[in-house]
Amino acid sequence: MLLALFLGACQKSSEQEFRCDCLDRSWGIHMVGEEMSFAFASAVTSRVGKVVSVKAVASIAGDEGTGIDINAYRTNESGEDVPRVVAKTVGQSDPCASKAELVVDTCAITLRYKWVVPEAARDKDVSFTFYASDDKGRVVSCNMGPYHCSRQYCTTGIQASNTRCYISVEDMAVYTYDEVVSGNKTVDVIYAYREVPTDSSPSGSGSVGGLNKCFMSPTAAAIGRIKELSNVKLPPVERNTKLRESAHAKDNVIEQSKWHLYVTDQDFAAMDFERAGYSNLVTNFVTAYNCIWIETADGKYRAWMWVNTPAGGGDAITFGMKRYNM
Amino acid sequence: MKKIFSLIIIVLATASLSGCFKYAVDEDGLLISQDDGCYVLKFELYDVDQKPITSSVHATVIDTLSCTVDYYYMYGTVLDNVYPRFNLYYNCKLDPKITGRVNWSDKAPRRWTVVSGSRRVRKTYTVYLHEEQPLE
Repeated sequence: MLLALFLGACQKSSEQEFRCDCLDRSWGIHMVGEEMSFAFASAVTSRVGKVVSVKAVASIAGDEGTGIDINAYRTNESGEDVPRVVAKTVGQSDPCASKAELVVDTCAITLRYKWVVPEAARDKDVSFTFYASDDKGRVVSCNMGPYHCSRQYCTTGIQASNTRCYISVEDMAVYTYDEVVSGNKTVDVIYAYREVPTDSSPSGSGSVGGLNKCFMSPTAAAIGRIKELSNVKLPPVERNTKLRESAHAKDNVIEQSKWHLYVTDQDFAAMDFERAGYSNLVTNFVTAYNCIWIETADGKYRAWMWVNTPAGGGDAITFGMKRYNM
Repeated sequence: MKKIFSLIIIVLATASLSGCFKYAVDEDGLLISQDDGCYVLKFELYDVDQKPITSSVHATVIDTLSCTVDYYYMYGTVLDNVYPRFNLYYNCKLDPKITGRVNWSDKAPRRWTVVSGSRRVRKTYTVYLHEEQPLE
């Protein structure tokens, strides 16, 4: 009886002699170009064996920068990661696989793995398998995922002014009038800055008077609504873009606030312009606080716009845009 | 003994009476009071970003005798999706009800009827919108 117990106990411990576990360290919605990060830990019972290599296989080959980090990290008193080289990268014929061989004698190790989201993974699911081998040839593995990679396109740091004011959602860029005409560009939104002195200034805009930063769809109907905007030069093709100003939507990629809030694919898909209400003109736009939801006239794209320039006078703005192909 | 007995009966009677008493409510489940007071305390328009567009200089004028509201809003505000918000006297209600955002871009006066808490008094208010004008 006692012997049976011992045997049972021994068997159990040998089962768990070599184990592994994995942790997803990534933030965000996995947009193309962003990296996903994992920490993969493996351990053999001390004095029984040692870990010799670690391998990661993704279902889709990652972009430049993908691979197992050859450093192990510890955290110092200031909370910073202190690296120490513990492994060397081993080339793999399979583009989806990355492998590292340990150069230190250890029975337990945690290595980091980075996977840079490639264009091929846009709007697709990706999953990962991590393997660890010990000196006796045993292999343990750990599955992660599937994770969904975002469908969105994103551009930051677009500069606009009263002359460079024709915004194209398709190109996620801003043009001057001449560039629009010569390059035959699609214009979905026009930006205009007008300072109209009034007795009171709009709260939060930080500037004197009315109107200030305005966004409108490129139609005669939109610019005709307010007399100060009637001198805006319309592009050759009029497009009745839907614009909706909104508060309480943030995106970490564009505003860089480190709040880790994101405009997700689901937000774009669920946006109901009819129910939420939309317009062809946004005036007194409060920068760095409100955002604009856009739907192009042909319904092909939806976009989300955020102006990084803090509230204040002047027509120069820097903005970022996310686009979702419907 | 008799005294105590009658006291108990009185207490029981009051308890049962108050148990039967129900507050009068209307078809919306709102309290119908005995108060005939019927007027607007405050009026504001809220923009799509949930902020009022009220002018910070021109105060809203509510005339409870002629039943008008003169509301001043910031120059250049787009009134495509605004949410009208009334503060009413106790237990009053509005007819028609405000169910959501309205497109008020025609800037024409609109009328709402305020119904008193007693539901006996009805007063129709007219809301006039005034856009703040640019300085010359």
